[in-house]
Amino acid sequence: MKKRVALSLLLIVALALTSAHLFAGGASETSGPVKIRVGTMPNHIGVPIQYAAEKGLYKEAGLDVEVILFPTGAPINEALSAGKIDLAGSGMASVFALASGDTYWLGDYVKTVAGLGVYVRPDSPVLKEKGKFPGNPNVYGSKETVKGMVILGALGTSDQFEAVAWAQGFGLTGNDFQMLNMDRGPAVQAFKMGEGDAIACGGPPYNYELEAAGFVLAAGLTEVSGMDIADGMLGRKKFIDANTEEVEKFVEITYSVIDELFDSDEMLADYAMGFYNKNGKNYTTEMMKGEIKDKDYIGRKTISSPEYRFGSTMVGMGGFYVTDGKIEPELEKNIFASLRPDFLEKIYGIKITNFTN
Amino acid sequence: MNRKLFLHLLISILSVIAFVGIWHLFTAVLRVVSVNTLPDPMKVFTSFIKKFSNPNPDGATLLQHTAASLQVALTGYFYALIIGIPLGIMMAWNKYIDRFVRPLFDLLKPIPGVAWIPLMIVIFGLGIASKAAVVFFSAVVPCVLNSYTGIKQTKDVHLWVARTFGASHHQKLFTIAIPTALPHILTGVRVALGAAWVAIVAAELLGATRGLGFMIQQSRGIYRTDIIIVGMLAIGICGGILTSILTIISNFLLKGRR
Repeated sequence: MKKRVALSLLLIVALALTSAHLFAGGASETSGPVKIRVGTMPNHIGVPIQYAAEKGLYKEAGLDVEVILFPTGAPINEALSAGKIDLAGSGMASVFALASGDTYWLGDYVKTVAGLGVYVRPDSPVLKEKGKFPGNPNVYGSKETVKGMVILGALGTSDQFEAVAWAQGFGLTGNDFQMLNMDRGPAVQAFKMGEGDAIACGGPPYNYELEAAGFVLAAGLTEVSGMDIADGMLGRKKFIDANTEEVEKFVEITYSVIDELFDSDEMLADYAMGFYNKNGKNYTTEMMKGEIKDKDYIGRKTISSPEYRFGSTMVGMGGFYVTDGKIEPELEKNIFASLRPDFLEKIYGIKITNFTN
Repeated sequence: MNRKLFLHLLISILSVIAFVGIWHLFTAVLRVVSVNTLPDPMKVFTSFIKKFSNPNPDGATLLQHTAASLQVALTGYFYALIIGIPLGIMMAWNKYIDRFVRPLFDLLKPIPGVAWIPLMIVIFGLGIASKAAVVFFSAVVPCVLNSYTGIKQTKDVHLWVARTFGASHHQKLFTIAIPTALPHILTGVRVALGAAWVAIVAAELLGATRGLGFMIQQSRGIYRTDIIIVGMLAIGICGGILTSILTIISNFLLKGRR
């Protein structure tokens, strides 16, 4: 009996220790500089972070940065939530992390001018309807043609936002069409094979692939959302509060890359293409040129302008998702509270105004 | 209710209460875990009730998702029963069929149902057929195996007696071998149901627009762990109900045979 009790106690202690380790997020305990684990993607969002890490810029500043690449923003959110990464360069999926109340938004750094949107086949009934989208006569579709559609795309990412924003313009909600969850590459292949009625495109290089296959952009994201689409940087509150100095250095170096290096399109193209192709993409010079046209990095110049409003994409998108029932209304305040322009204010020595709905 | 049964019931209820209590303690009281990582039981319970009427955030109510999953799972499952049980019986009863089918079956047997997902999507597209096919491949293996084992366990002496009384090959199969194998066959039917239910959830994680797996995947993307747990609970409850129904049917069919 005593043996059984002892064995049970041992088991409970072992379980407790395992749980404590899991809940602590497996944080490493090493001496020296704090390790900053940064999650990002092998696309335009990841370029400045990867560049700074590869060129040793973080190291020169005394930071120990580990870059971890993810396919989309949704797993980045999960890694942040689980404490497996501390900071992230991510896209529109970040709004869900901000709504959780556990993260801060540290800065917008790349704006999408074009390339995101919902594509349809040339014979789609959607293309027979134009001018019915309020405020933008160039958007195709109508309430009747969009309702009940099957749209391919990755859930919890910009893909879903594109589809929801398009449907909302016709007075519909995200529940009025079916979003078929697929990763972006397989979604493009499935769409080419005749699956689904439309595809929500996650930007380059998929938009080029869809256009080359003859599909038509029915609704560009900037047109249907009516707002600037900016990806950027976020991080876990606990980590940022505990390591403010290191995070500030990280933000400063990342923005210095944007400011100093990305003024040159050739240099950007050269580095980004290598980065993408090393990570399984197949970028051509033409595609890269297109991407540079479709994406604008946001640095000192943009942020210092009086029109600039910090966090406009996240706040605007939060509103969309609350209306659509994807974010609970009581969590919207977390998005406002997550905006931390103070890091950029300190770095650039300027005053920045937050975006408000 | 006798004392022993009451005690068993009490212990079962206590284990659930203890589990929920520890969960509540860690999340709502001690707040060891962020509510976004693991919501407290009350939040999950509220979401569970709400989800019966609220299609947000994933476009359908809990019953609609459950119905979609059941439709696909039961389609694949019934095909697995219709094909798997006779195949297993034939393999065990006829050595030529066994020799013909076995190499292929042994090759396909270790492949988990979820590994079929990409291929089924390519072959059948993104509709119900591809997911039902995934369920079929997961459920057919236990059906074949258990039917085969059941028939093989028919005692030779019973068959000799039947032959002595002039029973035909056909009569020996239907009056001796299959009734003898019935407990095994029904065990296979129950195991196959579990496999089908696991496979459908996995199949819906990819290429679905409705179903409990889809609901979980959708909620995963938008940080709604409460809905993820609601989905998991629904899977557990449905699985439990289906297994109970099968147990009742099995008990009825096996009455007096054990």
